[in-house]
Amino acid sequence: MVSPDLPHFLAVSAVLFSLGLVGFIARRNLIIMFLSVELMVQGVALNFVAFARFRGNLDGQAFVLFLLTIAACEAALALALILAMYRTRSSLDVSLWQDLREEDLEQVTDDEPLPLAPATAPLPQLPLAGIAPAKPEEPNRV
Amino acid sequence: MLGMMEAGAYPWSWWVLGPISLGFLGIYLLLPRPDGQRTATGSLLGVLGIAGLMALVLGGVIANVESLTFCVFSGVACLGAGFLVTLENPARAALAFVVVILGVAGLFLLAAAPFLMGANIIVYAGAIIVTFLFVLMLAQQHLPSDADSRSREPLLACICGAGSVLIILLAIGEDAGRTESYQEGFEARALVATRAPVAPFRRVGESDLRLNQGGVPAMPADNTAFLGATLYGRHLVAVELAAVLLVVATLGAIAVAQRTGAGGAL
Repeated sequence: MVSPDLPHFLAVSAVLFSLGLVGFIARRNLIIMFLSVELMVQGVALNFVAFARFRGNLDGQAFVLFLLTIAACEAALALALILAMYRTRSSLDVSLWQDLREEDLEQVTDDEPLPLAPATAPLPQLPLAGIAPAKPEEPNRV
Repeated sequence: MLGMMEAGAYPWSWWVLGPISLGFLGIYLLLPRPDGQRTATGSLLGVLGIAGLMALVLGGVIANVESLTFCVFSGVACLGAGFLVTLENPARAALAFVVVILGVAGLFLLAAAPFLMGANIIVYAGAIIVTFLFVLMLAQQHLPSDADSRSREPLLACICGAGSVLIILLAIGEDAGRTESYQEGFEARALVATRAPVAPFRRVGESDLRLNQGGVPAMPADNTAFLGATLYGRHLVAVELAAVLLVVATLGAIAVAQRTGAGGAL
């Protein structure tokens, strides 16, 4: 290979798309799920640009520009929806919404307990403002 | 299926199964779970997978500048994608997405799309990520939490992703046998296009990428002008529709996010 060819671009976008797929299926935070979808969109956009380059035709790039527009609209709407969902359940966990499933599917419960939060060092205690801390007297006065 | 083995100049046929399974095993080990991520083993396997896949896909690479930059940008993009999927802290995952955007923007530049590179960085890294970080900071949860420290079906998800990338790569590898003819056809068309008389406002289409002496498309600086001509020539109605769509989405976002009645406080 002298310089990257069409299959190399396609391979990179396949990897990006599949990682986005894994993130969308496996993660439970609503925002990370949305970012995974954006990752898949990036893979597809790379496909379009690579085909535009190797077909010598700019329609692919124009398509990616529209894809950017759609992604911006999608982000605005998704943020509004996520905000509304956060207000009702006060968590970003998507499993809190599993009552939206079909009725004959059983609910998934988390069996393993969460680990304890790591202990943080206590904050330093400062004296109240306005009161001078007691200072040891200096022994040698002139 | 066996015919894929001897297909083409791209020698990755079934060999891609190795690095792909390594990489997705690494992702599986790295996905957040209550009893702790296997950070060391998982990241080692993930890096091995990316490196192996790159070595297989690039084949016997002659190190010139273009292929080296291609390696760097694609490696950055894939690493950032791995971090986005596996980092437990959502704010860090959002920043990993910025890394993906920068890598993909570099690949856009290599694929002769300088305007899209800038637009991608501005729209994604500049606008979308900032608003997402804003919401993340509003809805800050203390780790570990149900949302961030657990994964749904990590094993099945990784098998699904590995199968997806395997199928796509095998399809590309099978098609790669026909790539030479594809490339030849493209060059023939490009040469015809350069022989045609060039009018100041010629019809935008067949071959607008600038060609170098060999008749192969070089990385052109005036692609942006041709992109503008394409957009406002053939796709004018779509541009107007996109403007309408943006206005509608803005109104919809305001309507959805509005606090109604005695909703909870954020």
